[in-house]
Amino acid sequence: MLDAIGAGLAQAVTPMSLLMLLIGVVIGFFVGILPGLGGAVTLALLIPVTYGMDPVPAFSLLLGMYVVCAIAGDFTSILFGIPGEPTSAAMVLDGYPMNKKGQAGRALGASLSSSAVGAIFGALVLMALIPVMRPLMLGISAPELFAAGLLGLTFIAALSAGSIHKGVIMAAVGVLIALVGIDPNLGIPRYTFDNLHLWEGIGIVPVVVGLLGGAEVLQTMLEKGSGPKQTAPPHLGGIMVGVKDSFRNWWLMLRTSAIGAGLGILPGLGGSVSQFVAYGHAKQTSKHPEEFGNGSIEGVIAAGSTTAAKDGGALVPTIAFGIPGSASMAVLLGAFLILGLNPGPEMLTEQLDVTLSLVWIIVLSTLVAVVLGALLIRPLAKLTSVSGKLLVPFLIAMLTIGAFSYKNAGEDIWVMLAFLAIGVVAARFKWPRIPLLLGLVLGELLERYFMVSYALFEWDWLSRPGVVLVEVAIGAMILLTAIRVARKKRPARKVGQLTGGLV
Amino acid sequence: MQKVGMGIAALITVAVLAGCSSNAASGDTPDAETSLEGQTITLVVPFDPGGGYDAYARMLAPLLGEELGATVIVENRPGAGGILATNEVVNSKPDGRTIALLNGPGHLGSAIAEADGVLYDAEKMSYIGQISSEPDVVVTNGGGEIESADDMAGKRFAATGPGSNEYIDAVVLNELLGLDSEVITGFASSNEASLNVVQKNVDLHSRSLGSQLPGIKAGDLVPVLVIGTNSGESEIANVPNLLDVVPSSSKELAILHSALVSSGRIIAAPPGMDEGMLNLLRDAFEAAVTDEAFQKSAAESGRPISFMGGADMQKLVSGVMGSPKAYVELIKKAYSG
Amino acid sequence: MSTEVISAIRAAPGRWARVNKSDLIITALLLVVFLAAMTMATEWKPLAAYFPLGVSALGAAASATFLVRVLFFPRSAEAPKTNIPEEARSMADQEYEFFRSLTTRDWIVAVAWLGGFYVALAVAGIYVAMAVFTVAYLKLQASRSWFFAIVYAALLAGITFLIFSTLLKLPLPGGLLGLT
Repeated sequence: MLDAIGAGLAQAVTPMSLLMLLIGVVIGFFVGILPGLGGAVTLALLIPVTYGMDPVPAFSLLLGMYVVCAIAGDFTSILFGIPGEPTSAAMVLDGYPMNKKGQAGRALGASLSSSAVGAIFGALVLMALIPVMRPLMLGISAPELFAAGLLGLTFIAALSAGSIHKGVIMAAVGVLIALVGIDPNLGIPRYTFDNLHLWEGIGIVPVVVGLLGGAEVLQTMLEKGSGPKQTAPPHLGGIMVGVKDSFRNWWLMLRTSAIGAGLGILPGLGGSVSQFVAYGHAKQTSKHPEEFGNGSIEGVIAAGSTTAAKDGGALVPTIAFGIPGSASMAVLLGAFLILGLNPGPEMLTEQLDVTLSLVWIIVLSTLVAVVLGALLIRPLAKLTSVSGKLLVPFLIAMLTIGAFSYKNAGEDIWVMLAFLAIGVVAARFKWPRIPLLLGLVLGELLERYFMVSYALFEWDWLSRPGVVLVEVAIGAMILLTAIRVARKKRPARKVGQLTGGLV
Repeated sequence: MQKVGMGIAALITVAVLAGCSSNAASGDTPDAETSLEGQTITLVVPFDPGGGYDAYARMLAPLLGEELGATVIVENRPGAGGILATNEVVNSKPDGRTIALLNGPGHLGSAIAEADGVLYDAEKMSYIGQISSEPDVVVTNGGGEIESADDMAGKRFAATGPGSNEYIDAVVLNELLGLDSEVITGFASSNEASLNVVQKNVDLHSRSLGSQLPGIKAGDLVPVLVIGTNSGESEIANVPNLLDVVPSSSKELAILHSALVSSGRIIAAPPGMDEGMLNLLRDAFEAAVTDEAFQKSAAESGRPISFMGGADMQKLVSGVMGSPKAYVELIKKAYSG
Repeated sequence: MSTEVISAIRAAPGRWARVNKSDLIITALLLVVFLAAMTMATEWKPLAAYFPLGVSALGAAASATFLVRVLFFPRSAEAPKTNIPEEARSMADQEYEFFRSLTTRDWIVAVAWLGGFYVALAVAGIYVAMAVFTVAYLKLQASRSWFFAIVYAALLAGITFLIFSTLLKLPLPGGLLGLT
């Protein structure tokens, strides 16, 4: 194993590999910033470039690009309040408020450093799992996925501060929206109103972009006066403060990285769920839960590290069995085949050095991204001192193109506008928006995997080891929350007016 | 009220401008010429990036562009199992600037079954040719429980959902071989269904050879039956074909289903294309796909080419569309879940 | 709403004033949505209907109980005026206060601009919409010079064209006229 690690590194640092890595990182940075682009689409566009390349340089380009997308997506969330990737929605919750308080530099610094730690953590998880990857994946089926989805659902309470009652209602709305489309068991169209475009379901990108970004654009449009949109001048010197903040919270960073990498392994779950689980967890365990949603540095760190950590985990099923956990991983799997690699036992024996070079590529591209990001933070943070109104045409173009590019569908622009309206109404009348998103990402998953679990095992699946583990975790969490609520009942009422934020 | 006025003024300005450009655009329709030189051709892929269809389209695009002296761009338009994009392509102008890569079994299957949402006559489309055709392979896990087609009786098939190629195969096998097997649906992807076979949660799974090969090579999956023409891969050389195991009373249906499966990946254009343009596209496609270097590199990347000309493809489509009632009923069943 | 309910509310006039009207309307609306979703689900085959039925029933129950809470147990109508400084107030509160402070005119202006952009998009495609909107918006709303507005619009459309058309070869919405 040790010489394979060395061989993997040697292949990852050849001039050709490094050049490809650099190109990949630069591309990743720019497509990551644009919502809707990035991930699967860009990977598919890059695949023809890799024809005839050796595997490691090819993956330097592809994986380097992909890893950086997630990190760059967080930048958009912080700077404009619009998630740059569907996995960057949780970053909006605290990153954008920090920006509004004039701490954009600090938030960007913290997001960059926690992303770096998360990505490297995920890569190490990938490496550590190599000996047990296949047995592990043999134990993960529909019941485990259902249980993980259920775990996600228990965070509704944490994510709907203000009124849990409203949170539950919004989550139910989100689940209903997730059910739009062809049902997975019988192929019956549900809630599609005879519209063929709704058969595939309502996509996450137009919803996230409209729901979170729309209210921000409207606010920018209607801001009184044309001065800088912040109350305080931008604090650029805060970059290092942010970096220090994240390392001061190293334990949180490691826990949320573990959540990202762990849920990343589960095919089909992915970053859009794990970001909320990590964010909810950070809030529940924080000494200052009232700061969440109002520019909590802990929220930024949790969102940053978990998003970057997912990629290492997501490669596990792809490498072990050729089972991609997401659309992007499916494109990467295609690249494996084109390059003559056979996912499966071969990747863990004869091709072990290639597998390990993937670990190195994640680490190296993260480091390059940190350098590039650090160089870009200053100019980017200056954008926040530009008069809000000047940004309006740019922001509207970004919302529109983001919604459209997801599936090249004009209809998605109307979906985005509908959710823009919902988002504005929710903000105007204090209804929480995040539970709706959580319901949307979990709804289909819960139904699908419950039905498949039952079809495969009837009720026996409830006693599978992985499921029991999650059941215990859920029980412990509910108990802990109950104790906290009981203990903090009276002070919490008073703090009530301070809590909330976007969530 | 000044700002309201301005907002409304902006709206009107936009509307007027839009009106002007509309007149301008409708004025200069270029004369239809039988050449696509310098044009941009959109190759529509009705699926997400990352799958086999996307891969074939992106392999073909540059070569086809070279042959035609045009730029071919690939556009992914996923939705409704491909029906959405096909509806749109059928309704676009047959000027050679919009073509599509279709999933043959899905495209023809949903047309035969008159599935919900199909708004076109598959027979009337202009077919440019076939780029690949592979048999479907039914696999099981390495447990050794299922060794022949007879052992499949009473076992469980995995499939994504009704109307998918793998679900149609399971329903057809059930009927033709009298298996009385259950089909478990709801898997998020074909790959996930496959993993559940490896995990021994289900017994059987049918999909295209190309998708099954990695699992077979890795020793996780064992092939038990081939549907369609065996293309000669060593991994399935000794595996029985559906036509060998089917009782003689069902032979006709088995032949029809094999034809449906081997319709493969088809390049098609909107209906009503004029002869000259269609021939131009067919010739360019043939030249691109029969190029030896291209065939070799495609085979190496696990995407083997199997060419069939447009005229033959058109015949195959007509044949499948004219299937007897028994087969139509069978496919309808596979779409109704 | 039955007459008893109305008279029960009338019986406590102070309470009615404290009822949060927006929550009342939104919850009632959502209740209707959930009930409609439930009705639609009853028409499907069981395997496709279980989950939607369960979720819409849960949603309906949650909205119904919340409706009762809003109607009969209203909290004090508005949070008491505090002297918490602006930057320490929660983001949701700030956002809420911001949207609350908007006049009808503000809303019409915003909707007209957004509507203008998307009508232009639907008719003439992204490039025309972007260019026209940018010039008009910067000139009229941000009071910038013609020169500035035109350069901004050209840059925005140009960079978009460069990225999508030239580099990535990805389609963009062309509108009814297909101008991309």
